[in-house]
Amino acid sequence: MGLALGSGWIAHLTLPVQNRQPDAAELGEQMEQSATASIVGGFRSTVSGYLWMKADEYLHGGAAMRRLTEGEMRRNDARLASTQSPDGSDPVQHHNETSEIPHPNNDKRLGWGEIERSVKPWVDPKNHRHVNLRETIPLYQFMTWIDPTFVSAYVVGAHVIYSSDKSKIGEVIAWLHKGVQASPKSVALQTELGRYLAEAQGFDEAQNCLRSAISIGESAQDLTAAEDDALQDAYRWMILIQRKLNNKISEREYALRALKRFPNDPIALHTINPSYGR
Amino acid sequence: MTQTVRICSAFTRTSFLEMIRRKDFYAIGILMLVMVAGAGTFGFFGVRGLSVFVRDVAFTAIGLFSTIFAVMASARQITEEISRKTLYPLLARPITRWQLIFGKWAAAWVISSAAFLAFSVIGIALLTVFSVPVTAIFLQYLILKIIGLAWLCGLTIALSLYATPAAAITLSLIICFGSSACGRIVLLANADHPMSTFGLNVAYSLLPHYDYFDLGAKATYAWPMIPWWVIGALLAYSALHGAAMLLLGYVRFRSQPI
Repeated sequence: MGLALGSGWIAHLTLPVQNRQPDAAELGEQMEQSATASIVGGFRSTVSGYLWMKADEYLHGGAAMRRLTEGEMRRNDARLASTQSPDGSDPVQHHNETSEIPHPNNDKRLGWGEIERSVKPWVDPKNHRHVNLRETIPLYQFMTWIDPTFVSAYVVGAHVIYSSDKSKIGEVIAWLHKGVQASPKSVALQTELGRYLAEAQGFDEAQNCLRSAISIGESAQDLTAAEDDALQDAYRWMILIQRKLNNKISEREYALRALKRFPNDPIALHTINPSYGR
Repeated sequence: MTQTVRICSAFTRTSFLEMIRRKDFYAIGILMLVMVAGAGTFGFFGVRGLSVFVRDVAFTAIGLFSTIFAVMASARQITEEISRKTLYPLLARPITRWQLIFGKWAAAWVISSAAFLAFSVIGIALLTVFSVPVTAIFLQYLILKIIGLAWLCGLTIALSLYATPAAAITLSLIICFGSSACGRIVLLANADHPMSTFGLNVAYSLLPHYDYFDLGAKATYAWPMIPWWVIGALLAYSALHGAAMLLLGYVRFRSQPI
């Protein structure tokens, strides 16, 4: 922990490069030329990655989940993980997940299984509940303090803050502003910020962010799957905002731009052809 | 029996003095303090509400350093007597070899437990300073860990009679920290290609289960106390498995020329 503290402090004070998105060409070069930047950067990515795994563990009160094995998927006999819905509707299914420690119905170990389920955190994977989401917020803050360029931590952290208390939208927007400051070229962050600004009825600023997201996404050579999804969301949010503001021309323009990249996007298709989907 | 108890208490007294004289206990204690204090000070940097995280770091540190200390203390017990040649005057007294092994195990267990309790006091003190509460399961955590240390000391002393001290320490630590992974691998293999109930239980019983003696994860997330029969079962496992380890060590020690 001392090392994590030290690396975060060094990153903030002595290596401004650490506070910028490391995908620019000159930054990559700086990482290669500066041994300190490289070592500190590697260490803080490891620590923030570890905390990311911990956040998932915290959601389940320490109980570990795992993906199904191929044998389990073939036999279809595993106890699949699902989460209770807060509003009492159908449980939310996790995709091909079960608990690491088997359920008694799937456990042929005699006493060992009962002992393990007693000494280690274990929940029945089917219809389990998550702990209060707000308890994981400090972890996301910690992750972004250690690694200001950890985009996923900002995105998921924003969702966690907003889900736990919808009146905290101002806090969410401020949180995402910090993320955008550290990673101005992140499509995901610009889109999320635009989305929450739109939720807070700040349409002008929302449009600025979404335009940035779309501009970065359209000019990028190679987007990751997550950034590609975020670009699609950016188009959608832009279309919806134009529809809300009754700007038919802009709405159509963004729909056409979205269809160039995402030809099957339903929101864009519906804008061009209102009978689509009926 | 009385003689065995006297032998055990003499070895324990000597081991305590040795522990105070050596620096490793203090070094480990300071390391633990820094680790937990470091985790707790994040509140000063604007990251509040990390109580679960600080508890997690505290219990991880306590478990980790207690294990390392126990392994190092146990591995030295007999091998240092042999290397310093103090074993000869010891065996010249009316002490049998099994009493020697048992006495050394008892000494290792007592000082390891004392070190563990000392680390726990440091950890709890720091958690109190940072206003991070612990729940009633902490008591079971202490009891179960002490039972686990008995098993661990038996394993390490047995290994030290078959291998060099460095190899014994390495193997013990691998067995301790790898026990959870081994169990997971067997379960995953069974999930993918189901084994027979008999085969799975034999495989599982032969594996070491040091991870079962650690309630740190449950204490971190403030789970309720576990059934006491589980602690009884693990006490039986520790006693039987640990005794088997010491017996293996005794068999080697008995035939070993000194």
